[in-house]
Amino acid sequence: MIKIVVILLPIIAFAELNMNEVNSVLLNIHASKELKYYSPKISNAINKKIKFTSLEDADILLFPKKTVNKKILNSKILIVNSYKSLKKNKNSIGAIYLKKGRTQIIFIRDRLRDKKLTIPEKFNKYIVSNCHINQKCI
Amino acid sequence: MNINFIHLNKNKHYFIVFTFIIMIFVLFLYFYKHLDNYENRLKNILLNHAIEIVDNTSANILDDMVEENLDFVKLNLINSEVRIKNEKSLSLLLNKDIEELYVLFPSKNHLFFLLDTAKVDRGEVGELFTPESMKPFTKITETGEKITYIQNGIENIGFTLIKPIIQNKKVIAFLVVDYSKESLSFLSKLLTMNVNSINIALFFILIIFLFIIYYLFYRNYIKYKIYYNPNTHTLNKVYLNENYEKIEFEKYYVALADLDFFKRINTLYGRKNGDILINSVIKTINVLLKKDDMFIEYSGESFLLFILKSKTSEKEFRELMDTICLHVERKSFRLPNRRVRLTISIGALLETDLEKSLQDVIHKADTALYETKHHGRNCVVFFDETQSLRLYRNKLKELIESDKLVFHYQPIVNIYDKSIHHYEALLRIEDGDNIIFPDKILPSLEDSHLYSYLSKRVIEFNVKKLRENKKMKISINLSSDDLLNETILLLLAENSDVSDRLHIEILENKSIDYSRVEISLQKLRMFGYKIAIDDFGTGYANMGHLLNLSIDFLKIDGSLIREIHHSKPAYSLVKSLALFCKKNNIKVIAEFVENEQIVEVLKELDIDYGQGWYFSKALPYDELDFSD
Repeated sequence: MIKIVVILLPIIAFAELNMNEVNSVLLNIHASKELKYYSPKISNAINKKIKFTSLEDADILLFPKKTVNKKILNSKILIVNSYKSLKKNKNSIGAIYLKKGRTQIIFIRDRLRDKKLTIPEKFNKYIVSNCHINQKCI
Repeated sequence: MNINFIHLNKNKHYFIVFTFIIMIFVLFLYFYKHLDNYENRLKNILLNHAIEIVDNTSANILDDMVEENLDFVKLNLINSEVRIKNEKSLSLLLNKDIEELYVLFPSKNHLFFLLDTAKVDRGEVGELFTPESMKPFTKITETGEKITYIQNGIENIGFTLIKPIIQNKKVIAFLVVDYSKESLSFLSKLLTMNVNSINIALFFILIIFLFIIYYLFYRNYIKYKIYYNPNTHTLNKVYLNENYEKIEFEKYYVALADLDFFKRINTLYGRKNGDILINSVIKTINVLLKKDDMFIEYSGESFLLFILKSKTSEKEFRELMDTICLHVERKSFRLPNRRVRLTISIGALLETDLEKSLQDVIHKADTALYETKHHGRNCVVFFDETQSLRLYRNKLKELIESDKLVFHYQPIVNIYDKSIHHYEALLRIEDGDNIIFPDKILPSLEDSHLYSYLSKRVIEFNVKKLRENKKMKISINLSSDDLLNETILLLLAENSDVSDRLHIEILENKSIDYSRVEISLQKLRMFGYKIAIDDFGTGYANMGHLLNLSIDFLKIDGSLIREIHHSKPAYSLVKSLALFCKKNNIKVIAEFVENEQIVEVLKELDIDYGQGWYFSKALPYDELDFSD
């Protein structure tokens, strides 16, 4: 039962998201080389231009399961599906999730810089500093 | 050119239709614009109504929560007890229509959760929140006013209320209430129903307008089909008939043109070729006309030309008419395998503004056209008044010569025993279905040889009748001029065998040369004719002459008799006339006896005979009764 829920989770995660925005942002994350993604389940709504590969070969893990080997998890760049995960996991550069029915896209500037990733200025509305996710800083 | 005139007319029509369409569009735009406003206003009314309870209640709760001296945001951020207490308070606002109810606060250009009443999908305090748009929050910060708006892209949420939380006159946080889709669906239904009603009404109005436009176009098309010759694009007589009253004829010089001897062309080359020639002639004339002039096909080979006075001087009009004649005469018109020469006659009227109707205008142009016959055709004749009289005389002559004379007979009755003494022969001339009466015949023939010609025909006709009917006595009307005419006197002498039954009434319609007439009358009395003076009492005759003329009857004018029973002067005059006649042995005949009252007065005055509708109207010979 838990397995089914875990398998369905990414689908549910994609289900109500504003996929136009999500695709647009993912396509505009740039590095020195072409980025390859891994996701336990690839939604049909994901833009076909986004390259997906195996867990081992991927540069970014999109919505990784908790079951993924920690060693691998720590070695990869993550885009998580909750605010809590974003705060908790320092490897995550951003989070894409639903809150109150609204698609939340958050990328942390400092972490993007650390991972040598860039996002064009037009997506600045999604980019926050570390301080924004730190209550003490607010 | 007349083609342009047609286009002008069409353009006028199109202009109206075009204006109409523009008006409809403007009207629609106006409605559409206001429909949008209406829809928005309705939306706001409905939404404001829906949030009314939460809005009012939340105001009280927020008043309690926000204290003046304590930083509301900071307090809730750091103090979980206060936060729990406040979330509880806000939970009181929840109802089945509310999906989410939470408080956000702005910081560093972003929004963060402060309070959330949700148990699932809960926004933790200080959690970053990215709304679908920052605009409503910015606006609320500026205005301090709540905003309600419909959510389109968010599942389960129908509409959202965002309310400012104000502390020290500054917007410090926002209360966000997300209403469920179900709550909106009811409002949507109401809204849709209203908007739909308007849409349906607009749709029907549009259909009606479209129908009207279609009708106008269709009518225009039908009119074009009916009014225009498809080969020459010129107006035809149907147009003239239907627009008789609308044509402002006084603004035009009018000409009636007629192709000379065209019946021969039709007979020689056939009707089809005749039509080809007519179309060629129309095109030839068209070229010579100006933009605002009008060309109407009046009948087969007759055309009406309306030349606008404001664009053409009288001199130019005269020249134009000559030019048309010349162009038609000089042109060699082409028919299959042959060429044909034609000429055209034109009757024209310059002073159209003096006429009362288009009918009069055309009649005068036609009169002038008729005159061209006497000028050998292929010419232009401009109307003048003498043409009318001349033409009318000619017409009468034709009718008289073609034996179109008819006589109606009105009895002269003995007013005491109602016996018929004799009949007065009253002249009529048949003109087709019309009857021309003496008042329209005799004045036109005065001073012309036709007058005596007509008198001669009157005598011959009635003498013939007397010979046919031995029981009948007839009186005929002759003028004093007739009595001086030897031919007439000779004719009467030749027919003196019926003189005992033929009375001669002398018209008292002009001054009589009594000395000369007296001699003629003596001759007639010698032949045995009875003499009467007609219409006595209002004319030129006087009683002295009556004695010299030694007449047998005196007919008192109808205008006196008609008044005799209620006019003292008329009564007195007739009375003295009757007395005079009695003493001089002259029989009196009263004309225009119309009723019993008049008869009674006549009896009182001892008048012998009467004539008028009371006894009988004038009847055709075949309807007379000779049984007695």
